[in-house]
Amino acid sequence: MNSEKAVAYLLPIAAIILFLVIMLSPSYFKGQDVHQEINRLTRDVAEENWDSATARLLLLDIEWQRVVNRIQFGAEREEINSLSRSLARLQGVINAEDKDSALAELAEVNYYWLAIGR
Amino acid sequence: MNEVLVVIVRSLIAFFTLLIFTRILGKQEVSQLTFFDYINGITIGSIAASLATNLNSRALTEWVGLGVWTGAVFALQVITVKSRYISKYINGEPIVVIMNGKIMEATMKKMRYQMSELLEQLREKSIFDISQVEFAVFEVNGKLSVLKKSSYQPVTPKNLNISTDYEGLSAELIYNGVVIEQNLNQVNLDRNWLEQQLRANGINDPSEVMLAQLNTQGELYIDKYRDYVANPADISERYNPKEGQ
Repeated sequence: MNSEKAVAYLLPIAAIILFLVIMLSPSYFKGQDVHQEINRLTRDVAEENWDSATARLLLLDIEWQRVVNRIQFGAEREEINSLSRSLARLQGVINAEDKDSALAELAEVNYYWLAIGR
Repeated sequence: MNEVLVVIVRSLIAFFTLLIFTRILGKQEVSQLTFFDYINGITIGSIAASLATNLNSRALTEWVGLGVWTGAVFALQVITVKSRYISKYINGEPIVVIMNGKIMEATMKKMRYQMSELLEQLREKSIFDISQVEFAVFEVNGKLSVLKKSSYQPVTPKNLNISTDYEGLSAELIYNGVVIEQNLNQVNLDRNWLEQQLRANGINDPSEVMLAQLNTQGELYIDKYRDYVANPADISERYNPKEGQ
């Protein structure tokens, strides 16, 4: 096989591999940082440690935005928007220091997180 | 989430995937497509469009759909090439609608093929008198193939026992101002010969030439970028000064 023919075959194969990597980005590039922040935040809320929970939510939001940039090309828009909306609601219930609602909202955030890239 | 950026990336994925997949499916002229091929083409295009712009679905699921559809079409292509029976079953068969000059009304009725359509397709082949037709076959791609009665067929050199010169493929020697050395070598000529021919036609450099072709009779056709036409024909309908008033 001469080099021209090899390139003609390898180029589309390389392109398809690249496309698959981009499309599978939600599974491979979402990482564990957001999940760990959700667990820490859940602990703070359960212990009604509201100052720490407010700071932790900010960290969670920053980490989530970072993950969105990595997974946006393969994930569903609704998956991303649902989690972002849930985080916005969580901000409100933490400000109101409403433990029950905060825990319910955190469970929903966790559910959306696990659904991404599944 | 930057939706514009996502659409750009997904569009590029859809575009190049479609390019790769259509190359796998091979060449087939649009005019040769059967109705089933046509619908397949539309569906594959529609899935690709959805992959590019429907952000409410995962890119991978759309891409897999595109792959499965292309794979199914490819598999059918392979099967129909290998089995004539399956090919006939899937694509249908050509139907004779005029046999020995007689219209096959029962066949046409079965195919829901109207007389007006038959006459229209004959007219498209410059046949206005149906009595000139010996056979007409309705092909699977919807086109009509016509065999005229022998008395209405054009005279060929063979009919007149005239000997003709061999005519094969012309070799492109210059394309877009670039000399194609490979083709020159194939016809056992060299650059010096080509430059000599160009100079004889008042051309100093191959870059002045858009196309140079050598036919099997050894005649060189040259088309320059700069065309000097005394009275260029204008077929544009956008503005005609004579009818402008």
